[in-house]
Amino acid sequence: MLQFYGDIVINTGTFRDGDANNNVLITVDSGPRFRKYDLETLAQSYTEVTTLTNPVGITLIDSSSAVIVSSTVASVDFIELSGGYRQNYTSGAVAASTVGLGKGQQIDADTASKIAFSVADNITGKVMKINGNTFTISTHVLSGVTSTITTVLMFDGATGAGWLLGTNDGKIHEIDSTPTVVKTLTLPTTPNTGTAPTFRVSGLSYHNDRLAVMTAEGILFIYKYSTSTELRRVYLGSASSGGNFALGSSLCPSASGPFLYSPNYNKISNNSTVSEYDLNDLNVQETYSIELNQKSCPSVGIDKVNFKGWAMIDTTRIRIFNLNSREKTAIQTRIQDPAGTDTTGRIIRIKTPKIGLAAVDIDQNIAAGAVDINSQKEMEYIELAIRTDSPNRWDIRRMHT
Amino acid sequence: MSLIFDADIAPASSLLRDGVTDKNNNEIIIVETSTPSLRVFNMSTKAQRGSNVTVLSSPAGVTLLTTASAVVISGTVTTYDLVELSSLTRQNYTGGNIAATIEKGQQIAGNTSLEIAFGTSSTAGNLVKFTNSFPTPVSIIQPPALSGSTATTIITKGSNWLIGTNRGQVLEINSSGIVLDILSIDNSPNIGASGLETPIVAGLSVANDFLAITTSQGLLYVYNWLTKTMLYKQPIGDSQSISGRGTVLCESSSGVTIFGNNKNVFDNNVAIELDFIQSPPQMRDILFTDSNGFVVASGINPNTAKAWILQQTVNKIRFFDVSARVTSTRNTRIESPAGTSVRGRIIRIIDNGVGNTQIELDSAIDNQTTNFPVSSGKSIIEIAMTDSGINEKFSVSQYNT
Repeated sequence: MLQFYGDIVINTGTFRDGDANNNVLITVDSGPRFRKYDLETLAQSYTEVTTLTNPVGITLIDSSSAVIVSSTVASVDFIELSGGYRQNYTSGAVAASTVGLGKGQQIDADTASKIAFSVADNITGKVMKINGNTFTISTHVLSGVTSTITTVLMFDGATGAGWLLGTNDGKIHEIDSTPTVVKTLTLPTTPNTGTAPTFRVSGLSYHNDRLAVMTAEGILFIYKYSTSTELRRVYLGSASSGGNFALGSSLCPSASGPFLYSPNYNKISNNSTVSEYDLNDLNVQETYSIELNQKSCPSVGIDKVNFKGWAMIDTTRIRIFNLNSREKTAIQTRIQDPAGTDTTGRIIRIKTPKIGLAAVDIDQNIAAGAVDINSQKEMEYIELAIRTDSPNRWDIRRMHT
Repeated sequence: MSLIFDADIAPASSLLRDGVTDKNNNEIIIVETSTPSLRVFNMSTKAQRGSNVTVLSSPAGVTLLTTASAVVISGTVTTYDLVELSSLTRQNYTGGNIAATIEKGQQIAGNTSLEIAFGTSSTAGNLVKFTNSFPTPVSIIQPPALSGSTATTIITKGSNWLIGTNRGQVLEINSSGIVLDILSIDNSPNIGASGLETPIVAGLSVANDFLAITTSQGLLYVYNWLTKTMLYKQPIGDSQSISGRGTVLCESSSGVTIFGNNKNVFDNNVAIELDFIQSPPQMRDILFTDSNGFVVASGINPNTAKAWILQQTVNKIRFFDVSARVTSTRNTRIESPAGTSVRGRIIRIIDNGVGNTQIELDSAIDNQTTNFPVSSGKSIIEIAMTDSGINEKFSVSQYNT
């Protein structure tokens, strides 16, 4: 669940993108400026740093530095986080110009290998690779990719770190660090009224073999990624026709299940929303109504370490939220019938954060005796115990973990 | 896939405004503003019955008043039309009000057993009551609870009506216009409550004790109507303009309603099948149209499981086959102590075996017998809870449907 924590506000400029980890939030805005914040105090760490022109995307490339790409200039900034030292590189770089300004998820990095990929040049299949080990930049046109790349997400897949690339023709390509395309998933175009629709991928999120794909047309698709099986589709609202609304709403890397969503189109209503969607339970956990004249949100994110979420609500404001930690804790249970005599049985644990959102978390058989079962910390549960050999015998208890 | 495209009709020289399903005759009756006219089509053959019936200018809504006649209201004039459906003859009458808005359905709703319909009015505080009783078939009703508010959305609920307003309320009235119950949309959680726009109700759908609401601000809510408990809230996309328009719903068929976005969207608009009795509500299918044109109205014929939307720009009536979840009725109540009905919470779990369970229902329940539909052909575990804290009580039952 979301709980509003506070605001970060700047006096000038328009926020474009951000990234967060371990209580640090880094941002770029139209200044062009780079800023670093403490997510606990919400204080800016040091004076903002002037960056390359039209910064469109920023990502942490390791624990101590970040890279920034531009929508118009063929160069990349490296920023050392402790002091804000900036170095600009041009060799091999192109403009991350496919989608242009105003949408997040145009660059993402694997901080373990210090490799980042970004959208590039508005050319079919082209990506830009940034190597944080050697400070080298290269571009690659991917074989088998039939449209421009719009969205980039680094993820921990079945075979290790990779990147998921969303495109302007409704596809998601998984690449390795080479980069080579290793898998392609195509969004469904049915059912339809006789003509297949066009999809533009605007957001991606991934957790535990579940992939969320957001489109500029307002549809969120959820997949079991390993089998490319569609689990759910949800309509969250499309941009209007006309204008540069190919941007669409971005998502963010999932923090053990949840990701954030906020509409990124020029809404008619002067109020916006920030929603938490949970890939574990496949539902919208919470939707905050946001006041003021706030119409579009280019970028959202979650700090996976301290479970603080952030949303760039319009130009000069970032809203910070606390999320329920998905950290697990071992909760002991046992079934006795009669009291004092352990027996085998079935345990069903149901999360009950609030009415309407109950979700089965655990459903397994247990042996006779005490058993530790991991469950989410700081969560309300109901636990059912059922005797294996006598299914009509039940017990039930309330748990707060 | 539970929403299957059937066929289109593109009525010549038309600008679609509203429609109503005549279940008994398997027909759809539409009004359009180009001629302006009322037209009747068979939902199976798609053939038009008879000729266009010229109606008043700028028709905004149509509903059945009796099994043999329809009422048409206008967005610009205070007169209204009665159309005898077998002969397709029209009579115009004075004494009505201008409807609250145009290009949005659900502005008039009739009960053919009572031969009464209520329609919206652009005059705050007014409802227009239509009857089959002459010489005074129309009257203006001014429920005190509606004072200062404009009725924007009207549907039937059994022998009563639900009235959505521009002040974020839903009123239940009887056939005399007496207000029986009121729900105020809860905008929490929120940031800056005083700066939030007041929700304007754009769409309503009711099934058993569940109420789905959409607003001009682009939010979908699901409430338990009896207990006024909000069960779900998510963004769904806002409207073309804020003045009373927004995504409309339609009458439900076993908890399923159909809708599309009420603005010109990016790329392709959609038709969505929403099951709002499930927990959480499920968009069981999203169908892609070949147009970005906005959807003004929708409907379902539960007798034939056929649904329709009216889509402007292309000006088409689109028909779909709907495969609703097969459910049966199940009366539920909580007694504590025995013989005393109390409020509480009901959680139903579909038990497909160890490790394969899912929540079907999670709702508040009032202190009376309540009919919550349940999926047919399933093994169900039902948990009833009442009170809270150290006084919380549980009851568990298991049954097959």
